[in-house]
Order: sequence, then structure tokens, then C-alpha cells
Amino acid sequence: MKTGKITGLHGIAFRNLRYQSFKTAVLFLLVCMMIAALFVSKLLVASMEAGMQKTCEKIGADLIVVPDRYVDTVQNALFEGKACTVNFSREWVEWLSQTEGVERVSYQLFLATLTAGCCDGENQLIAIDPQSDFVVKAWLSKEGKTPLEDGEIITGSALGKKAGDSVRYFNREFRVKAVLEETGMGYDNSAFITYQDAYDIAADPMYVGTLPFSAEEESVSSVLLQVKEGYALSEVEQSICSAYRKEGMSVYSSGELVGALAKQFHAYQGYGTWFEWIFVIMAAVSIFAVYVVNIRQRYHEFACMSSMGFSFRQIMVMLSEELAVNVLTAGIVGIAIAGGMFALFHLAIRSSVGLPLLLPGLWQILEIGLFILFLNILVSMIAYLYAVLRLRNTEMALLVKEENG
Amino acid sequence: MKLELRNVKRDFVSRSGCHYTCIEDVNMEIHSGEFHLLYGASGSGKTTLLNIMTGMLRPTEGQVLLDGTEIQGKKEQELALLRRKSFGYAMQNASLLNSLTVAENISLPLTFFSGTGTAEEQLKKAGLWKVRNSYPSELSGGEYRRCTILRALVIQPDFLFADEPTANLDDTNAEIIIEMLEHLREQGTAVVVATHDKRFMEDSRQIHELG
Repeated sequence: MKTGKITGLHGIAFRNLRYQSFKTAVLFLLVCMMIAALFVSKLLVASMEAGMQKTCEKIGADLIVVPDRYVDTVQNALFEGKACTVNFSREWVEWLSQTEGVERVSYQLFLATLTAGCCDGENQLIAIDPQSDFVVKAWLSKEGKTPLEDGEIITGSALGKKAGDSVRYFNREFRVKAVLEETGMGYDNSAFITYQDAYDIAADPMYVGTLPFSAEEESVSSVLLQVKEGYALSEVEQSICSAYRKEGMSVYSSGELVGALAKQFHAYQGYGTWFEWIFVIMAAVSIFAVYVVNIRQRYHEFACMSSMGFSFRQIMVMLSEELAVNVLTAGIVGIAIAGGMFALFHLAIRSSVGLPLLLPGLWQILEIGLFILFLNILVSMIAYLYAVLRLRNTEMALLVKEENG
Repeated sequence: MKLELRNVKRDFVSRSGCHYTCIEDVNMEIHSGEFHLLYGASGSGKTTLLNIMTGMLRPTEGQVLLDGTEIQGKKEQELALLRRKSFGYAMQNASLLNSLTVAENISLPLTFFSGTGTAEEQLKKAGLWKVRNSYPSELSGGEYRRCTILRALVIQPDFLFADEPTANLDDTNAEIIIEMLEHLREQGTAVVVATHDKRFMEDSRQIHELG
């Protein structure tokens, strides 16, 4: 005989899966998609948490000072990387550095690049003073910590550059000195140049009038402060506010700026948690239903096996082998596909979500994956136990009638 | 060997919750080498009686005795063993596994439970050698019925139960099935057939009218 001998329950289980290949594929796809969707939703929340946590840890400055009317704009530039051009007088830097309790002052100037041919893309260009900067440095590896020189640029991780590459902004070639590690915030889509280069651009006749400041103005877009030890943030914040309120100065602690973001995040998270649990339950119920329907369609076959002399236990072992193949392959494939897609598109997802988003560590991703896999196994086991209990309470001969009904 | 039914009754509960009695007060003795016909219209309880005889259903009342030993009280595992060794059962609509070929289906009880033998010889004798690699869904009605009988008798059972083995078959195919069963009886197997097919009617057969 050409066909092989069936000597074990796994042989029958395998043949069942192969014979009903369309049903097997549909079942596999359904479970796979549920698992993938669940994995992505959990990964998204974990990435948001990781992004928020890292932003809080590494923002560097204790206080950020911006003009009243530009608070939202600067916040968007800092955390979402939305290109903007904001400026106010550099006098503020002097005033703030003299405020009691202020340890260090750093300042930045924002220049939105142009989409025209003069620039390699629409990014946020930020001029920094390499001597006083303590914010950008925090995100640089050791090698990149030597001072930035004119003609050099530090790029955010999302710009796809590496040290030594060249990049073109406002018709100028910049040599990439270093690349920031992934921040999960707007810095990933930004690039950093020296003040001198920024003023040279402003002085270029081609861009006079394009940028809202001139080389002579000595503008800044935000001032970042570190507070001396022993001084309370609120104390320094209060003294700046009372001294310079009339100048239109707004002072925010990094925590407040991140806090505003955190509020947005928690709103997301609040809905997200509900949504996530609803989704988990929906996915679990759907997977359960898929498995139970699949088992119910097999009653005819179970009765046939029983008439041949297969015991109830043997029939259940065969069923569990089939389920195990589906649960494990669909689970692992679903997680792998979802994980891969998320890693590839997390930057695009971040820009649409508008929150810092960092891929969690490998261990955390594995943890989430194992949780989803465990959930899938648990649901399949419940479906299996449900079937076992139902079958145990039904005489085998009645299964044919039940299936027909 | 002797299979005996004493005052067997079976009740069912319908989906609407109504209790009804399907068969009642059935008494019967089946010995090796006998041919019994359970004759009656649809719904008369023929299949239920076969299921009770094979241990696939338990009677609500009464006894089923195999050589004097009650079988209705046996554990599911013991009943499975009985079906594996002594009872060949060709159910009407659930006798072959759709995912296995004809050859695999027929030799399954041999390869799986005893680990030896194939049904090559039986397939040839039953004229099913040509379709040995086909799946049940690819068979004609006559071929399917022959396969179900062959699958049930391949273990050389003491009792063979067949539920409507000639339903919807033409005379030629029905004759082949009847011959197969008769041949089995001649070899000493007790054959019990549930049918409403008059082609089975013969004086030598014991007929039990139901319903």
C-alpha cells in the first residue's frame, strides 16, 4: 500500500490537520491575528512607558524657560519633533544665570528646516552652545562628547545618519560628528549645530526673511537651567516668575513639561488599559469560540473513533495534540510577525501617537510575548477542558446527533 | 459467545426538555454464527438498540450481558477495549475517518491496537483495492458501505453490528454487502443488522420488529 501506516495518535492528529488544510489555515490565521493584535497593543503601551521613563530620566534640565506664547510649540518640538522656529532675546540667558539657585544655564535656538532642495528633509534644526550644553550631551555616547565645532552636526537617531556622513541643510554641508542614542522624543528627528552656523545661515542673503531672526539679534528659543543643590525647584521657579513675569517668561520644570505629556500619556493609558483589557477579553473569547466550534465539528469523528475502540482518553489526547500544534505555531508566528512589524514601524507609530515611544528591552518584549503565549495556551486549555467535560457527560453515540443538531 | 438483552429500555430528553421512551422492554439473545435483523421504520429505535449493544449508549433500565457478565456498568475504558476486540460496529454515518485513506481507515484498528498487519488481503477480496488510496469523500455509496463493513470486520470480531448497511444502494451493491455479512456469519461471527431493507429478509435470519 502506498499510504503510510497510522500507528500513533499524533499520526491521526497530523493527518487531520493536513486533510482539513483550509480549516487549519483559517484557524491558524484567526489565532495568529488575535495574538499579533494583542501583542502589538501590549507592546505599544510598554513602549510608551519606556519612552516616558527615559525622557524623565534624561531630559537633563531641571527648569525650562520659554516665552508664554510658545509653550505648546516648544513642547511639541521637544517631545514630538515638530519643526518650529521660535525666538526671543538672548538677554534672558544673562538674567537667568544671575538668578539665585541657578547652577548652570544652557540655551537652544530652533530653526525649522525647509522642504525645498536646499535641505535633506524637514527636520528640527537646533543650535546649541557646545560649551554650556548639558542636555544634548546626556544622549551622546562617550565618543561624541567632545565639543561640537562649526560645520559639524549631531543628528537624531531617526535621521538615519552615522558619524562621518554628510548632511545638507540650508544649502550647507555638515559633517555628522555623532548620532544621539534613541531618545523616544523629538530629539530623534532633530539635528544639532553650533550657534555660529545658525547665525551664518541667518546671515545668508538667500534666507534673510525666511528665518524670523537675524544674525545680529542673538536670539534663543528656550533656556534650560540646572538648579544648585539645596535649592527647591519650586523656589527657583517662583523667583524667576516673580522677577520676569512682565517679560512674558514662562518657567516649567522638566517634570511639569513631561508631566503635561504624562497627563496625555495617562489619558491614553487610562483608555488604553480599559481598551487593552476589553481587547484581551474579546481576543480570549474569540479564540475560545474558535477552538470550541472546531471541537464541536469533530463529534462525528469522535463517535467513529469510539466505535472502533478508541477510548475517551485517546480521543482527547489526539485532540490536545492538534490544539497544541495550532496554539504554539499560531502563537509564536503571531508574536514574531507583530514584533517584527512593530520594530520596523515604531517610528511611524510614534509620530502618529505623538508621545515618546521607545522599544522596550529584549527581556520586557520576551515577557510580553510569553504573557500572550501563556494567555493563548490558557484559553485553549479552557476550551479543551470545556470540550472534555462536555464530551465526558455525553454518551458517544449521541455526539453524531449533537453535531447534526 | 452470547450477547443477551433483558428488559432493555432507553429514554431520551429532547431539547425542549420532554422525556420520551425510544425503546422499551427489549429482550433478545444473540449467539455466535447467528444473523439478526432489527427491522423497523425510521425512528423505531434500531440505531439506539445497536448503540446499547455496543456500549456506545447505556440503557435507562434493563441489562446487557456478554456471556453472563453485565456490560452496561463497565467503565468507558473497558467498553472501548470490548469494541476493540470483540465488537465490530459499522455506524450508519460515522464509520470512517475522513482524513485517512480507505486503506488507512480499514487497517487502523490493526496497526493502531495490535501494531501488526494490514488489510491488503481484505481490500482485494472486497474489491476495494482500486480505491485503497482514495479518501472516504471520494467513494461511491456502495464503496463507502463496503469500506465501513470491512473496517468493522477487519479485527475478526465475535459480533458485528451494522446500521443500515444497504441504505440507498442499488441491488448489485446491496447484494455484495449482504454476501459479505453472510460470509462473516458463516465463519462464526454473530451479525446484527439494523435495517428497513426487505432485501435482507430470509427465513434463516432472526427478525426483531421494532416500533
